[in-house]
Amino acid sequence: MKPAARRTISLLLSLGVLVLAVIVHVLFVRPVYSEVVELRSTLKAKSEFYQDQGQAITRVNDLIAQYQGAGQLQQTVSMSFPVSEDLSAIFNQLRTLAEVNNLSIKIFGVKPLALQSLSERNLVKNVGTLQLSLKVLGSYESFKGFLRGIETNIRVMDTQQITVEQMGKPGTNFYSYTLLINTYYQGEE
Amino acid sequence: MSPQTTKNQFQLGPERRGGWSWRLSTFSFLVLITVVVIYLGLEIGYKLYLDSQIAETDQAITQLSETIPKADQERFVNFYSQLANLQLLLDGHNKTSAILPMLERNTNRSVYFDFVDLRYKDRRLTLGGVATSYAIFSQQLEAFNRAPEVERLVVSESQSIDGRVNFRLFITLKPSIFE
Repeated sequence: MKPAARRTISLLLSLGVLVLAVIVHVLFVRPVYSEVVELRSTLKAKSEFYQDQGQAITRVNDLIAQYQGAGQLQQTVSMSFPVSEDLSAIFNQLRTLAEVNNLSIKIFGVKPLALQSLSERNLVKNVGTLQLSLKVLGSYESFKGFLRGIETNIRVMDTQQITVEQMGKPGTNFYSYTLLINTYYQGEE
Repeated sequence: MSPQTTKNQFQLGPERRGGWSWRLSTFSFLVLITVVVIYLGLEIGYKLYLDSQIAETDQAITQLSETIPKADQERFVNFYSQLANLQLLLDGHNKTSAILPMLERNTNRSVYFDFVDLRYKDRRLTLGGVATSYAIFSQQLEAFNRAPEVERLVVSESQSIDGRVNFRLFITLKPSIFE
């Protein structure tokens, strides 16, 4: 074979090999490289998540340790905002407040209202509301003390409506007081 | 390549001058082999390594979440939720008893109320009472008008019976009174 022909064949072969290399690169290397880039970003995201979670769990563990040492606080919080309706406690508290302030309870009723979400935070559960209707009788001074007692009661109570009506002769210091009071508890979800 | 070398190369015979084409072929093959090696390295080596690393990280994350017992998690979430809700409830906690001192301050000595109705949501206070005369009733209205806690005052009705004035007032209170 003539040297010129050999050189031509060699040149064509080189070109063919280069073209093949380009084809392999385009068809195989580039897709695999894209996959690898994606996998690397996934791994990076997961590693960061793992580190964040690790830090969060350390903090949560610290908080749990503190919380386990704060039994008294938990008890107080549960008295102010219990995890159940706890109707007997409500009635006992109102009865005691009425007795202390020389008022007599004539009517006591409870109406559960729909659960509502007060916070947009994920972990915060819904709040249940109990609407208490109450009618008490007594003097104006007694009622003032009773109303202040409701406002400062350990269990959170919000007076929504008060109706005061004269009882007996006009001008006498004896009235009937009809109240609507909202009190709250933590829902299951 | 120096000019002298190039010159020497062209001075060689035709067989030796063909050496550059074989070097090109060798280069092409090296490029192909490199591309293939890169492909195999990525496909068989690095990709599998990354997959195994991701699986290990997933497992570590799962194990991490199991380090806190479920019961503790639930108790903690409950307590956190109680605290968060309690804070919101206390922020909105009202003091309706504040209307009583307000009424005491602003009630004329010759007036008494036999009906009081407060609707916290609407901030509306309805008062029914008796004044000894229209002059006293007028003074009573003026006292409520001047009271800083009163936003709006409406006389619903007033009627003179046996010299006494029976009246009914609608008062809209300012929100600040309940804070």
